[in-house]
Amino acid sequence: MKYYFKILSLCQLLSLEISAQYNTQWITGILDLEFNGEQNIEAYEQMILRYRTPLDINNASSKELAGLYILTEKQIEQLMRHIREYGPLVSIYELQIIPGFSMQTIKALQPYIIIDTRRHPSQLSKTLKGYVLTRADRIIEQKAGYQHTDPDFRYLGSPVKIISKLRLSVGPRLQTGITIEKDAGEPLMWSPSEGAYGFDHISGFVRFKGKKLIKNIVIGDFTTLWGQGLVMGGGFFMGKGREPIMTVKRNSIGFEPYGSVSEYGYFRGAAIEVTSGPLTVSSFFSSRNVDAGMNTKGEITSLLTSGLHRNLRELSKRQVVKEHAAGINIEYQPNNKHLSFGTSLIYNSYSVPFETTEKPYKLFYNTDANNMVAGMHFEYRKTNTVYFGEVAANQTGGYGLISGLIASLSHSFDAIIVARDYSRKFNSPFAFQAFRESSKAQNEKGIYWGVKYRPKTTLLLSAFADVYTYPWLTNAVYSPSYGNEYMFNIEYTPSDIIQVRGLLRSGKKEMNNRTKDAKIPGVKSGQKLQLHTDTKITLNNHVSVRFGIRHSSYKIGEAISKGFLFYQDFILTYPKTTLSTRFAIVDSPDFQNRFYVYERDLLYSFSVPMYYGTGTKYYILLKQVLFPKLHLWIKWSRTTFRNRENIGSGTEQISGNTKSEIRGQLIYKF
Amino acid sequence: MFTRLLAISFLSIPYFSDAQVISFQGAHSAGIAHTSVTYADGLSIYNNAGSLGFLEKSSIATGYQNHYEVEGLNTVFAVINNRIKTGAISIGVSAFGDELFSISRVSTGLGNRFGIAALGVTLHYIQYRIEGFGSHGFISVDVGGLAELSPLLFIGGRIKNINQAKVSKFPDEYYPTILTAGISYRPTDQLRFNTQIDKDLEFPAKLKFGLEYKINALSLRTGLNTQPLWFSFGFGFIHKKFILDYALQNNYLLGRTHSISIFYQIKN
Repeated sequence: MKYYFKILSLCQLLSLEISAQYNTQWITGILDLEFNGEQNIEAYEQMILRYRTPLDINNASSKELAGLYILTEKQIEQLMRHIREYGPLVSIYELQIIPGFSMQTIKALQPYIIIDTRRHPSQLSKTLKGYVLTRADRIIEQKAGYQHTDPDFRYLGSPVKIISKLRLSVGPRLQTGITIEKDAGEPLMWSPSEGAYGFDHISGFVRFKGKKLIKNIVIGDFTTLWGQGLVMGGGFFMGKGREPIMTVKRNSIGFEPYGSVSEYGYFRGAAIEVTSGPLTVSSFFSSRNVDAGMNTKGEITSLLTSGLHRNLRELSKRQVVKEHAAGINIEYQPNNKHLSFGTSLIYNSYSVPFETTEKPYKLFYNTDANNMVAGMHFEYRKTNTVYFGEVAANQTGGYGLISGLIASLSHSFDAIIVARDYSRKFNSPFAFQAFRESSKAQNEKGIYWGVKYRPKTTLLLSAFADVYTYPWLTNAVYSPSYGNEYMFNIEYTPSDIIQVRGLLRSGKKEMNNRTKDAKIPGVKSGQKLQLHTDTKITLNNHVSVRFGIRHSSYKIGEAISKGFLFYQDFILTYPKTTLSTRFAIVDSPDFQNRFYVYERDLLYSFSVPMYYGTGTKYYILLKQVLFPKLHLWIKWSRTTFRNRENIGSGTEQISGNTKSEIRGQLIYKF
Repeated sequence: MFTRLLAISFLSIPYFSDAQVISFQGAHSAGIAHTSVTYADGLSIYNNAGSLGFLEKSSIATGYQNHYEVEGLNTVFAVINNRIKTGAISIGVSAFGDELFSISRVSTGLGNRFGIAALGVTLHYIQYRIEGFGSHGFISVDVGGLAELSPLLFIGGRIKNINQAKVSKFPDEYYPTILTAGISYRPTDQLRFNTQIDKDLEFPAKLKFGLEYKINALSLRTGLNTQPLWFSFGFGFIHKKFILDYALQNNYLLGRTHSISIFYQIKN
């Protein structure tokens, strides 16, 4: 078996901007990055765009408050009651007198809310605010693709990855942005007829937020979420993670502009949200070309999500299928704001149909060029409990259902139960955010429980359990199957100096288990057990250290594999300069025992690389304030493997046992 | 029907072994995945004899349970609890099965409280009967204890069949011997969170979790049992001196189990 060490921070999985004050611990918990690095890393950019416009806490709905993923249902209820009884908050410090609001909560909330817009004239003025960001990355060692003799495989562009972004806002209502990107190996092309305008990926938006009838208009690239995401569930996916309560229920906050470098999972067109009294109508239209693999009959074999177009082979799949989509969501929320319910419909079509295959697991996939999904959703709050749910059906006769409740059983104890049932015929192409275990909201039934308990301000305990079945075959299991997952987490912060975290997570899932001679794989239950600890010590104002140990084991049949990771960070902070370093050793030969570990990155950005193989890794990251508005970051990292002659495979192969990367970024804020 | 019954009888040997079938612990207990070793709820005779020492009222109770919606896999019981000075005495009868196969049980228990802790013992006379093979009876003894470490924290333990009684001598088949330890955390009057470990000598240890929340006269419950995996939901309703409990358990492979029990509390 080939061992290799893959750093996910490559390509578009690279890094995402993030608010400087952001509590990174919290975000990794919310998005469950340390287990699902790949699928969730894109979530950041959406999240950051969302948090860029602070919420006016006095006028926010309970849904919007829940959408911050900081407050519990009990806290939301107490806050709403406080505002009802005593009038609008006059200062953030007033939160302290509301029962259930600790200093920790207020600190976490502070960056994302404003108390009174009249007291913050900068929020209302027409001044121009924004930033320009430019980033370049390069792997020092040459990859095989750059010297490949076959013209189909040879990388046509330079090995430098470039990202540039411009974000502008005029007052609190008007925002615009543009993102251009070229992955390593991609050529700069100018061919308007093929949709190529220099950089491989260009994305932009203009968004206007109104006050009265027209609440929100986005022209350009956008995403949205309705109900629990079964019909329309764009934006960032939150899975099961260290935060067991707040990440399961979806909180719709309307159309959001899209500015990520990911070339998949967004709409391009126009979107409008109109509100009149208790009624809100949202609708959109989108038309764009998407990447697809095609068979000889000209049918789609699969839609591609990587966004890589480095050689002729990859370029031949670039933007070959036209995707049209349109949708409408009507939501009714009576004045008391306790109840809201709505109905939504979405239609989409591709310029060619999908290939029909004999593969049994694909038997219930929709192969039509068109698809329609419709559904109804509701949310109801009473005292300390919120009930929510959505039911949806699509044109192939499939149905999807999710229903659950979150209850704050006491000031410090929260619990959640959610049931889901997505039939094997349920084809909902934009249900990216629907809560689930598998990659699609299809062919899955399950029940999820979560509890969170904070007996003292210094101690947090949380846990979840998820039990699910796949009633039909999947691409990894050739029989109906079942699985379960458990997590226990403990966080102890006795003082500002030290923070300790421990986590245990166990998952059991049936998998095809092919023995050497068998033509048909047998199905066996694979069990994974992971243990994490992290300790952060702040020695003084300038010096802090962090170290972590991860252990993972995977057992399928009689075979057991294990992985181990140890990392040590050292961080120096001065007013104009920050220096962060890490040294890590990893011994994890089996892919099942790979680790995702949060890593400091170019500030305003984030990376959660995958550690896998046997070797060492170090990085040095320097941040320097050049001028008050101009900041520079430089990061150097190197991975060295033991007993290896090359890294990676195919066109991505590097000969030798080291991989080094240099990255630089400049941000100008105005 | 017959094939399903046959399949279940083969598949379910480990499931029956954990003594849920033959020792139905009531619908209250079923709703919290049987994390009831710390409960003094009137079915102590089946849950934990030690908790008889904590019993507050005399009561009579009856209940019914059906496994996997299969005819014949039924349990019924009736129990009388009588408060005495420092504890309680309990007598119960229960029966599982139908005319083809049945297990009948007569039980009596005594629990006594000493300060924050209580100890108890239960004696069961158990009779197995198989149509055409005849019947066999034996005595099995359970011991248990319960302690209130603080008003928030209860801890309980139990040994079932401490005398290691045998169901049959040839082949050597023991009635299950099960060790149990559990804690119940009760941060408010409304909320109970239970964790329990059950270890049957011959099967993997089961880790169980139960959560119970009380709103006025209504209790809502959920629980999760590992090895084998099943989960439960249940509710309880108090009206004057009556308590009604219902629970639904779901096992992925075998299906649903329904339980119901009714209490009548007699004021002492």
